[in-house]
Amino acid sequence: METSLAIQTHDLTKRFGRHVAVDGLELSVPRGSVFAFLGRNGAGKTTTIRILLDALNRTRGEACVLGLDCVKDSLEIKKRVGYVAEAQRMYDWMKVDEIIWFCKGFYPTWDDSFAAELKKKLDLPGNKKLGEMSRGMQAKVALLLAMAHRPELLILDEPTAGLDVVVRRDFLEGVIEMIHEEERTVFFSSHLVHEVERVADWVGIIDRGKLIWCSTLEEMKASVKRLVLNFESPPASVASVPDVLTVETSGRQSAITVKNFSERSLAAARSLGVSEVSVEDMSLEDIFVALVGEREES
Amino acid sequence: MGSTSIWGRVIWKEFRESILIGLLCLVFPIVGFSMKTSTSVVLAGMATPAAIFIWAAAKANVRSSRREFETTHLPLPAAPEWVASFVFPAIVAAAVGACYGYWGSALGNSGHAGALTLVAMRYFLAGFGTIYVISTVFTVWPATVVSLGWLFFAAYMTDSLFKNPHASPSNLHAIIFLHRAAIAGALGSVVFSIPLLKGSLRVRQVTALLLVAGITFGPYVKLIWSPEPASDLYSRIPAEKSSQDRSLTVKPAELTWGSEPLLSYTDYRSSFSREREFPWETRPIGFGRRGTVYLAQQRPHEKEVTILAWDTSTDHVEDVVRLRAGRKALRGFWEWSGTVSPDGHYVLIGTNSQLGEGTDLWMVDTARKTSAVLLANAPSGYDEVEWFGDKAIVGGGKALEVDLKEMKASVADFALAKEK
Repeated sequence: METSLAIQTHDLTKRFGRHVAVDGLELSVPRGSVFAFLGRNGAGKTTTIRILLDALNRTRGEACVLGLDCVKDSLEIKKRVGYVAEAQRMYDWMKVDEIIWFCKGFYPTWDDSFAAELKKKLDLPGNKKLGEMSRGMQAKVALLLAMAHRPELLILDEPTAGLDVVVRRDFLEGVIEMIHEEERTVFFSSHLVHEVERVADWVGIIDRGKLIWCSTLEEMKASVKRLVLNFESPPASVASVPDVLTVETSGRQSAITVKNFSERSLAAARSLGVSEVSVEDMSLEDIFVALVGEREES
Repeated sequence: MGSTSIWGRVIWKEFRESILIGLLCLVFPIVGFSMKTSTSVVLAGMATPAAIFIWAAAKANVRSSRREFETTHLPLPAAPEWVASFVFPAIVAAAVGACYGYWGSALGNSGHAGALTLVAMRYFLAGFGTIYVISTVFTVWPATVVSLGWLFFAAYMTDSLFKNPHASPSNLHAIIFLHRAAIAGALGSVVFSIPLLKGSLRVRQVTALLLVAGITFGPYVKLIWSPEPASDLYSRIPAEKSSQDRSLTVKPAELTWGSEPLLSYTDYRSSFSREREFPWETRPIGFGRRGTVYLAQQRPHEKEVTILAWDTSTDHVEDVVRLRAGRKALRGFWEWSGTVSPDGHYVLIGTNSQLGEGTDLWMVDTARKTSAVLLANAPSGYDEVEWFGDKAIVGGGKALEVDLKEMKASVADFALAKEK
């Protein structure tokens, strides 16, 4: 397993009876990246994360976190990783200060002054019980606990699920700002794709347990493009254009989404007898829909 | 940050989380026993262990499915995890059991507070361990079903755990069973905390289940093939016996599981005492001359009762006679197991009859080491003896007049005696 990678899996598979939740996953997350792990609900994101943190047994394959085996070295991994789960359940009866004191004992690298700074920054009341706090506030507490020991890798599983728009924006940007300043790795899953674009530099897309895309956001955007084709007569088939993901036709205009975009794609489009071709950049959300939608259709 | 810090924290957390269930459990016996109606006692008797067992089931299930913050998020080593998830709650369960037994006894005026405390503690601990493992291996629901089984089992199993406080402390097989179950529960829970076994959930499940089933019920498997019930299944440990003037006593000393019980003889007039280990199935009958204690012993599956004489001054034990008997253990122990004549010459004892369900009434001449059946397969109830020189009157059913020299008994005719 490469040490330049924060997370690496090989043929990682998890079955629940007949259902295959994760199917031969080959994932590589570079150290120092802000990696967005995207997928629809039930695509296998949480299952993958739970396997990485040894909260779930894998059926087959290998999974390494920070160069360590996720089962054999799970204790060491937990010491070096911060984790915020989706709808995280903590101890409702504990006060914020109590849970900070409780968690502190488990980490040799716990930084009291950083914890205090986070508490102030996140505006957390020390004397309030977790059970009496809103979900947003609870998510902030979870984030503090995950970050105060200065983890090498921060794993966030749908961290903003259930939060309102303003809190979501503050939360994600705040996290990325705080952790990325120190060149640590952030691996976060989300199905709210539009939010990810502002913060991620790497993107992985999982669908029905399989990784269907993994690259930097820049590479992804350079690779997946929309070609708007204007025809003089009704459009013919676009089958000759390589790697077409979606086709939308309206009158004498067709918009096709292609992956692995290159001059070859353009040349192929022009060969269809179009009067005009324009190339448009796509948002991450559109790319995601195109990639996942293509698999849906196939 | 050292491991001490982790231990302190997990125990603090478990303590805080256990306080509520602990207090809740103690409310039932207090309310129930203070009301002192049979219904409330039964309800209280069931409610406390039920609460503890359901708590065990829920706790184990959360742990095994690794849904808890502590187990999924924190770098918690196996040992403190086991202590936090099993040992500490088990201690709480045992403590609740101790309070339950003590208060139950005190409020019910049973007068056996110490013994009941121990019994209830064992029962709660064993129940907690078993339910915990079942819930870990399966889910909460099978564990809840087993919990109900435990509750009824406790009421039925020994005829004693709670219904008959006089008998419960000395029901050896109940004690052994509960010890086994507690140990099995502890081992079963360890299986889930050993990192080496972490890889395969199935292996851990099967191992834990086999451990619990094997250790708890394994020794009873032989009963399935046994042509007759084991004679010792419900036998009981020796109890106290005192001379009529209370100057001599023989009673069990400290009882520890795994070793034979110590019988302790005390002569209060001379402040002499002696202890000796005897097999579980030995019971004191009475006192002879010069510090001799007569005892009866029936080993499992033996069709004989051996009368022993223990010379406490030399600590020498010898067989006096062997009496033929049925395969069941000595019966009628709580009511009457036998008696020795004041001069220590004769022993009268009831044994299980070889002929049926009744009692064979035996007489033993300890000096000549001979024995005779006075009454065969009699109904039980011959539990009163009066000694008159060379005669004895045994009361209970129809009174018997025993000629000690001839070693014969006849139905006593008191009317005839009066006329004469």
